[in-house]
Amino acid sequence: MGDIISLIISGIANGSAYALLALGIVIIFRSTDTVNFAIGDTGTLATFAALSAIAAGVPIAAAFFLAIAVAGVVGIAAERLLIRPLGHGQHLLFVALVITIGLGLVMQAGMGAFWGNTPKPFPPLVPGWIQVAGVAISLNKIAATVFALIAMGFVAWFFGYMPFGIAMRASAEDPLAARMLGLNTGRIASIAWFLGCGLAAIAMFFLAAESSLNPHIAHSPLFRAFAGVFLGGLTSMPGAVIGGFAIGVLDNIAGHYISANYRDTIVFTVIVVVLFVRPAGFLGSIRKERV
Amino acid sequence: MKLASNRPARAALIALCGLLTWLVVVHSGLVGDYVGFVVVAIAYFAVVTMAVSMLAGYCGIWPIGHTAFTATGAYLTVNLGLAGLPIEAIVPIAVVTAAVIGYLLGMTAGRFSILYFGLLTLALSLAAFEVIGRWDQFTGGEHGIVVPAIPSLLAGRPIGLTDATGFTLIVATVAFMAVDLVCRGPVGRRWLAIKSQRIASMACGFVPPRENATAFGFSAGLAAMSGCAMAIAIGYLDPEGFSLNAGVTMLVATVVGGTGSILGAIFGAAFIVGVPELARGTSNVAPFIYGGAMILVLLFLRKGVVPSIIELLSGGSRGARMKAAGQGAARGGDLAALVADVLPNRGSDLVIEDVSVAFGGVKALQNVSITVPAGRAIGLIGPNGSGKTTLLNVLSGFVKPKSVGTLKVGSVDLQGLAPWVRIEAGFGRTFQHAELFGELTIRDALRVVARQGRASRLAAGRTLVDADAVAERIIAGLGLGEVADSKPHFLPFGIQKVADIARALAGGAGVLALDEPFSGLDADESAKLRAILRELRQAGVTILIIDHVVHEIFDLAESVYVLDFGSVIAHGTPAEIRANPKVREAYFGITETAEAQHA
Repeated sequence: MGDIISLIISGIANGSAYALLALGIVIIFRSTDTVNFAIGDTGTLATFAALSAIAAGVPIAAAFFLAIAVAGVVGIAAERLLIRPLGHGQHLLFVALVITIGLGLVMQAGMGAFWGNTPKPFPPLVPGWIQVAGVAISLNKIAATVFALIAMGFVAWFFGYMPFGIAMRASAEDPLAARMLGLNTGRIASIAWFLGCGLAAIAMFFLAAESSLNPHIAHSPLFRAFAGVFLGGLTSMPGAVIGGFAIGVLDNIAGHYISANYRDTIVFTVIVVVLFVRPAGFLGSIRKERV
Repeated sequence: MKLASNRPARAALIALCGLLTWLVVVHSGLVGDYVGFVVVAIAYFAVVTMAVSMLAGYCGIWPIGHTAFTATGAYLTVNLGLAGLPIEAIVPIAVVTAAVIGYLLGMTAGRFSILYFGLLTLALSLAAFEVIGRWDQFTGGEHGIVVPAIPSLLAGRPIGLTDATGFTLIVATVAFMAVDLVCRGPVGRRWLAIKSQRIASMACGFVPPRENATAFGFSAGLAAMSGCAMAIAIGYLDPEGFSLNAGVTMLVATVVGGTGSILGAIFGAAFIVGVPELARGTSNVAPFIYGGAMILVLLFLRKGVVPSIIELLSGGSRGARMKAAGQGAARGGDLAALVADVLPNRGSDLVIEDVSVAFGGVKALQNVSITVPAGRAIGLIGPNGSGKTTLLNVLSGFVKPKSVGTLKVGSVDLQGLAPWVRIEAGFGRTFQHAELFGELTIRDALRVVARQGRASRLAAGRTLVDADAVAERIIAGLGLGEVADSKPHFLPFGIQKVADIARALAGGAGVLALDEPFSGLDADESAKLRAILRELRQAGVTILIIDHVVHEIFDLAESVYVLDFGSVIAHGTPAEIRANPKVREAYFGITETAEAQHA
């Protein structure tokens, strides 16, 4: 019994990174119909920038916000230069997706060339460990979870109460109507990409602080984030967050009780089963195609 | 042009190319070991690239993790070979295994959206990579596994590395022949139809989830063939060859070469084999070039290198010529004979009783009842947002009604029928924006739709059964001869609308629901369409026509229903409707603006 509680607690801590990435994926998808496969690499790139800043003497807390800003700006640039020129249309879903895969490749290669492919040690934001319900958890993980929750709270506030956030939700429902109402869809896209990539930077920063940093560090968490998005539905922000946390817990429990060697496979199986039962995820809605 | 439509000739050409390549590489003495090795690598990568490229080109699905299926082929080759099976048995087993897995996964993702294929294959590839890394006795785990000599019945001895060239070229030739046969035929046309108009294709009797899954299974089978060739050609299987990176490399080849093209797949494969070979010594250049090439090609040569070159060579003149094609040819023969020859379900009525639809709290339709007697034309008018198109979508099965009294075509109850079976009952429809299959010529589209109606025509004892003959008959009957070989977006809107009607007839629609056929047409086009619809009505086709162009409806329909806020507010002859004050209030005050909009 103590086992399961500790697994859930550390699962939630792990899941906060997946939930942040998943939330970023959903925000970007809702605003620009782009499944951004480069989101993890964007976060990694920003974290490398933060690491260089730390090495240059910048305090770690300032470097953290620097990472968010860098990722956000890279995100805006990616949308402006690579996605917006494609134009609009249902058939462009995959073209945009494949472009972000290409962008991810270039980013990984670039990071490898500039910072090297060997893992770089990364200072923890908060050193030390504490006991929670009999489990030792790094303070770093606790901080990560707390920051993740704060970031999610900010996103919820932004989309729930800020006029521009509400406008963004409306725009996601019906882009044409939004444009007719005079909403600036270009600005909406930029803000969405800034937010999405900024969230990814938070996730990658804490993942690096947990162990170390290398250009390919985003692979596995991004996969889990996608699994979370599947669970929650591609269009639901709360769904993505819950899905991300759920995958964190599930991954931990499966790794402990079934097999630590087949974690990806177990996560994958869950996705397939979920898709069979509820194709739109548990909180998402099937988009009505217009006739 | 001739070669493009002659499938046996193309198959022979592919076989000939395979044979020539083999002769040059193995027997000419012109080619050294190194070049031979590169050619073999291009060949097996070209097969898996073709698997990805075929899905992207014909179905609009981009699989990210096809490496799972190449791995299936490669590791089955090793293990079944160790078990003593001959290669002639191993390859089919591998293909079928991968195809079945692909089909099942396809059914899972295809039920929702093609986007989920991409995400699902990503997950599959990661899971497969994990399994490969751990399942020691099957894959050799992280250390990899040596491919043993595999028995071969045809060669009469075990084959191995020295037979790589011949074996790989045979596999590639067979794979390309299969792709060409499937994709250039009716199946490929169906896939293209679904890719370009998923919704409209359902109204024509196509089943997108099933077709997507079939395509995915076929593609997985091809990827497995590539895996078999890879195993024999490399002689040693390293798990890294099946990582997500390897899967992404397949995407690079597809994007660079161009989707849906055999030459494109070969070019793309040459690119991914050539870049690392040329960049030997300089570390880590390949990913830069891969990623950069992918982005640049998608931004500036959307179709990929090979299709862009082909387009350039064949001259962009085709589009210009078709734009000048004007209003189409004169119509040959009368439609009454055509209808008698090709429509299996004439003389059915359409009965709609008490249909209600709600979107959330909005009542889009409330207890709507409309009857279209067999062989008559009934009009339906109403302001924008009154629920006209929603009613049509209920009839098509795209919108699920909240409650229904009756929904019948002839004796067939449409309730609960999937959208794609409704055409079998004889219910066909057109679309406000025509929604023609953008990637098929008018002729190809009519042929492939006419195939769907073959069984019903046969059962109904129609004189014309063969799909191609039906298509030709409809092309002639509706005067589409001059434009039959062009793709719809080159054509004037009036022609597109006629082609939309042609498509419904090709599917066998004896009951035709027309969604704003006259909107957006000029006087000349309207006159032509009016003549066609009159003849169809006289020939016994049951017509429900929805439009804002009220005078056309009054001209064609013998009685008219008026819909407002989801309810029928009036029903009567055109003269009665014209005089009805309720209708005047609800509708006629705003005709001008309503006509100008396409809501």
